[in-house]
Amino acid sequence: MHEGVARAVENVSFTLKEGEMLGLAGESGCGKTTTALSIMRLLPPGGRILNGEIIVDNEDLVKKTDREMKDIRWKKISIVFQGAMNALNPVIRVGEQVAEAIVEKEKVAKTEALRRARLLFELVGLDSSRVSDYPHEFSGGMRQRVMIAMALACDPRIVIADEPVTALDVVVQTRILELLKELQRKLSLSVILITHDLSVIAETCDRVAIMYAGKIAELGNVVDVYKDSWHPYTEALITAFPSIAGEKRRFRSIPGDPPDLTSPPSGCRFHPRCPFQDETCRTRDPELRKIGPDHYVSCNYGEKLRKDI
Amino acid sequence: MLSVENLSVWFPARSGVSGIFTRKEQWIRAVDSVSFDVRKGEVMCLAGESGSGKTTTARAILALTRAKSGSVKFVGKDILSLPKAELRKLRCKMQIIFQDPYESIDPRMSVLEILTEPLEVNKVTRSRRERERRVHKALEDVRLLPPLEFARRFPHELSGGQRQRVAIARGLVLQPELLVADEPVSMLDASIRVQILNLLLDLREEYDLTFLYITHDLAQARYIGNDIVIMYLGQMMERGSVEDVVAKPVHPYTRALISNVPVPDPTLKRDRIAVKGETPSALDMPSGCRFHPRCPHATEVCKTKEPEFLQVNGDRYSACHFNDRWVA
Repeated sequence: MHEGVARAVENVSFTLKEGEMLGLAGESGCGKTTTALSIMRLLPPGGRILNGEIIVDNEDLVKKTDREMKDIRWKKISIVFQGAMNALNPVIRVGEQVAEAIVEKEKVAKTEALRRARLLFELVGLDSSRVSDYPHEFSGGMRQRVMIAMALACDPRIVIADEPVTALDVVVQTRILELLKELQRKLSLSVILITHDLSVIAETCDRVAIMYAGKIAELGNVVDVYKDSWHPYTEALITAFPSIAGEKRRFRSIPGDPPDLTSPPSGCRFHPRCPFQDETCRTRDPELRKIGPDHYVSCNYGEKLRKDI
Repeated sequence: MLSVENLSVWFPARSGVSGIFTRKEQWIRAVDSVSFDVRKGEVMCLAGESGSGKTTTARAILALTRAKSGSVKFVGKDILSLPKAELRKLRCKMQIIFQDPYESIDPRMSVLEILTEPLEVNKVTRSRRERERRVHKALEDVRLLPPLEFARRFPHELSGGQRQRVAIARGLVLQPELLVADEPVSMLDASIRVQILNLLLDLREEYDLTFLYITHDLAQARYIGNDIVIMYLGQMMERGSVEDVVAKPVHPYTRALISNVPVPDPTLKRDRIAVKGETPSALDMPSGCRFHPRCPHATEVCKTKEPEFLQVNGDRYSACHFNDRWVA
């Protein structure tokens, strides 16, 4: 039995520009979902934001009251939860489920809400007549489009999508990701895409934050982070990612397991698994620092390693 | 080592009350005439998306699910027609590793108990000492060291990757010749996946094991496999060496699939082949070629006539009326 305080997210900082898609990548337990829930102020009981700021349109969400957050959630920022497409109410027509959010948040009549729901369906590539269907009449990919429609119901500026394509077949995956990119363009939407799948991020996102054990290991535009990785974790993760392209050879895996966040390693949280770790790494927890115009890394030896690798 | 011929698995389908009154039998043709050979020491991948029938095929091969027709020859014996007692003995030589490391091992048993159970049930060892020796060896093989330490642990004291190693150790303890692995790394973190895939490759080398590897992830299949069968709605669409099939796919379904698999490189330009719709339910099996409603090249003949699974060149086979058109 574990007891204690899990330092789930530590010193995470990043900016999201308008109309940009930022990938939040990392393995299970790295803190990406917790970061997203913090932004929405939807942490589970027991979870607390200890410090920091979440600034959206010049307002700090951390300082908002519950009531104020109610006005912001769904209207400024909305979220497509992981597995949400399987959590649709099976006995209510999907159009009504989408309309529910609109009635609640925009304070309009149901007829108006349903009209908007039909428009939203068209926006996400679904036939508007399907608002009167039930969830079981939709395939997986279509249900995910419904969830995206729901997230867009109140015209938010930011949408957080948590593992939006994980459970979908690969050809459907492409279509959903293309939809997100199209919406990003059409509506100047900012998107935070959370996933453990590095290949999805490579092909869809503009920028990426690689998280490890609650911290950001590397942050920047995708080309820099993928092709010119500085953090040993990033480098190891990307090179040891089985792919259908590239050389066919054995990869060297990262030894060990991700740490227990109730008692994270001293110093740099990655050091027990890092091939380059030394005394400094065991004692000094590195901060995220700038190494390029849009490239940041939190490693004690960023520069030195570049020369050695 | 393993020879599967025209294996079919059909499930009776019944829709509600009408199923009792109507005499018409509806069948879900979950697996339809699947054939392939696996040489000793090789890794054969059964690849396909949800509903393709890959897991059902594997289960039928292990006789965990009743096949409707076809044959499965393992070390010269036809598994599907073996008497129960003989099948029991042969089962020791064929083991399975499941996808979910949280569901496939009993949380109330210690690792030692989990690994001893198959030995006791199958009565293959004569003493407790021998059982302990085998368990010890299996833990060493999967690099859960020191073995004594891990033997006394319970599943909740292990990480996902460690649990999966226990599942693999359990598969090894009977010293099998064939290992069936059903999406063994799909639920594991990215940094652990390659660890486990490498472990499987090491074990294959050390024990000359033969693998039947089931996955929807073509990247995994490419990493670990020698040969591959691409399945769709219960049928084989394409079969060949994994490297060739991935590099130069023939069947339109394979080609579409591969063009849609993302790669971890933002600078690689991809030509995506769009595929409309989603995989239909097996109850609503399309006529003719099962892929025709979604195929960008479908013609009249595709709607009416089921294509044959024909040799394209060498060991490559594909089931498309226009195979020749797609060969590079």
